[in-house]
Amino acid sequence: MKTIAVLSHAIPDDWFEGLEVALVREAECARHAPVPLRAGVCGSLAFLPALLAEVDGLVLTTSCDQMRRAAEWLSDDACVFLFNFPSTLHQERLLEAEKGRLVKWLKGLHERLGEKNDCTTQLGSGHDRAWPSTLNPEPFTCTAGGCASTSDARTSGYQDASIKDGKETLSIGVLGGHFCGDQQRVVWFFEERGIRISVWGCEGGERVGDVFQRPNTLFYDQAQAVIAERHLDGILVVRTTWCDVWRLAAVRLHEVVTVPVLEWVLDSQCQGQSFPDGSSTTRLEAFCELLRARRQEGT
Amino acid sequence: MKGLLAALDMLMPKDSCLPKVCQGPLQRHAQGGDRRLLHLDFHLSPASHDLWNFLMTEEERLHAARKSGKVIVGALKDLGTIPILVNAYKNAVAFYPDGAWWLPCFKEQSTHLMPVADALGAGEGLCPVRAMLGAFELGCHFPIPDVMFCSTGAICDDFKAIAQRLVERGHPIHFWEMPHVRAAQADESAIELSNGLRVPALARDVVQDELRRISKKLDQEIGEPINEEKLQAAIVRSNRVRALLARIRSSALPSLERLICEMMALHYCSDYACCEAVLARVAEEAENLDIDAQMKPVYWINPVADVRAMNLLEDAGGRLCGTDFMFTHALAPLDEGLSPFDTLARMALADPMAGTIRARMMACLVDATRSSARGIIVSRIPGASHCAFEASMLTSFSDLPVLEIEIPSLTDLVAPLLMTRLQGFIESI
Repeated sequence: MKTIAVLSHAIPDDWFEGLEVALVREAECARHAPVPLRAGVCGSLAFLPALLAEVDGLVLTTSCDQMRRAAEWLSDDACVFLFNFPSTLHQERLLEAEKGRLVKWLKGLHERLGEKNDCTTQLGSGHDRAWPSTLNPEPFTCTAGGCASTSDARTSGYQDASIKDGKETLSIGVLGGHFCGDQQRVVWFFEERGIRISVWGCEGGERVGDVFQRPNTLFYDQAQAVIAERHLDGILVVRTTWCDVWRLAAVRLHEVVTVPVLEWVLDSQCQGQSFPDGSSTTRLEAFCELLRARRQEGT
Repeated sequence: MKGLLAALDMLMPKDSCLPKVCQGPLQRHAQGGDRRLLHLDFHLSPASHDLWNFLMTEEERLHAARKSGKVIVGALKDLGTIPILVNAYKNAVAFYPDGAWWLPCFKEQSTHLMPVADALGAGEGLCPVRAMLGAFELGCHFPIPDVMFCSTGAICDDFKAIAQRLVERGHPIHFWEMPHVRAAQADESAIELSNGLRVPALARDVVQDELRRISKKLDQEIGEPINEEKLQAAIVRSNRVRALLARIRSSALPSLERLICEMMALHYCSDYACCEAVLARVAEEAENLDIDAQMKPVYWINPVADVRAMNLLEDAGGRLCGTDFMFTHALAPLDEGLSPFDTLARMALADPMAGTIRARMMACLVDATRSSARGIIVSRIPGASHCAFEASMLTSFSDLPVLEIEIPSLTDLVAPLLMTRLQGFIESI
């Protein structure tokens, strides 16, 4: 069994069914020491070298330009696979060819690491691009179905967390790309204020559409559907300083959804004991107060 | 010989190759708002006068084209491929809205493009191409194209985000897939690009299909069916421009005018015939210029948001001997022996920004060595996602000295600092 980190929502778990690989779906930034980065680089890249040292292979996609550059920056073709993921919806041929290439890479990885696993099979075809089936009604359920995801331990903690006065509980969704902080601390932060995170839509969590698609109308449709289905009171959009795609997606969400949206910039340097830092705490508390006020007003 | 705008106007050609409406003193553009012109050092010659007049009259020419019934096709991001396709249609003109990134520079920030972009969410974290968003919103700097195409996929996130924002602001865009370009593996069917890279044949097939899809859409929009002969003729015409640019690039033409000429490769500044005439004249004159042996040859990577940076380079004692302004694929000769769509697909795949930074930097180093550069300047574009990796990557294997600088849309405030860095670098190479 090899452990592969697949850091993109675009590649679903069911592609790996029967391939005897354990999937890691997020960088778990809170556990890893960041490396210093230059200005302009996505903060989530800071954790990739440490992650790569822990797993057998790392799969990134071209859906984000920073990840495309990260694959090159890590300089390890044997252990890092860059999946050429189309940004348009009509490129089935490219998608299929890339799936074939991924299988070959996995096979090569197993051979290189001295373990003969059967990776000659095709990847699963359960990838519904128009409406992905990852909208799980249970919050914080591990999305790496059946696999030994490193997020298991943390997610089980969230589900057991008791929330006082369930009827009055406010709930929010967290959307964004790679999350550079400690997910548990964020959950605690909101729980302490009587707010439940019902949707964790950052990488490694639920897949709420594909923000990178062009045009990405489906993403906003799906975000609105999630808000309605889960009765969300607000949306927190988390992004790194240099993430252009989520920066403007947050602006658009403000325009199209009917619940409050707060943008939260979180970088690798924000990680650590001080999290959430003073500035973040003030913003997040203001957001919580707004949600409570809206609830009281019956908005 | 170099001089200010008034001095260049003294050399206004009597036999200009421009249409009458585009002729006249350049100072009228400065009076009309292009105030940067007052702060540039120009190459003083009649050909240079025509070149600048051609550049500065693009908006008027686009309006005239629309009045005459031509369809204005916006080609976004691909840096040169779609304009060739558009050029095959008699009744269409290709326009490159990304070029609006120079408006804050030429207007010296007087048009509020950046504040408008800010208000739409595209703040300083994005590259200056966000000015395009402001320009579309204000609708006063160029006619809004009738139809727009934008490459997506292996492109920078800045543009990807801004293009989506344009759609959200009511400007429909037809996106086409530009796959990430990687070297073909040994067991893959492969083709060779003009830059020598062997890439999977599948990538060519994907892009070729996309170009055919675009041409069908253009057929509908323009009401004029295209055929391979027409496209082949457009490719031949494009090669004529590329041949002129090759002559200019190997000449001693000053850096600022060289930059402007190279930019013409993207979309012929919205008028192919005029562009060819202007460049022919510049090339003829440039070939007779002598290289100033006192100026040290420097290779320059990335376009500059403020064109005055080219003046600063020369003021510091450097001269351009080679460039990669991010569109070397728009300068290399096109293969006329292939089917036209194949040729265009290969051109698109040769886009240095669609591949790896390492491949691009290595190509730059080879080109810099070939052109006898004494050093390489990597000019960062503020906020551009790719720029964070380039200089460090190049430095890791370059045997030529590398200087990294950042050029904002207006360099005035940082000019002393930039000059110090440029002078220090050029003195030491």
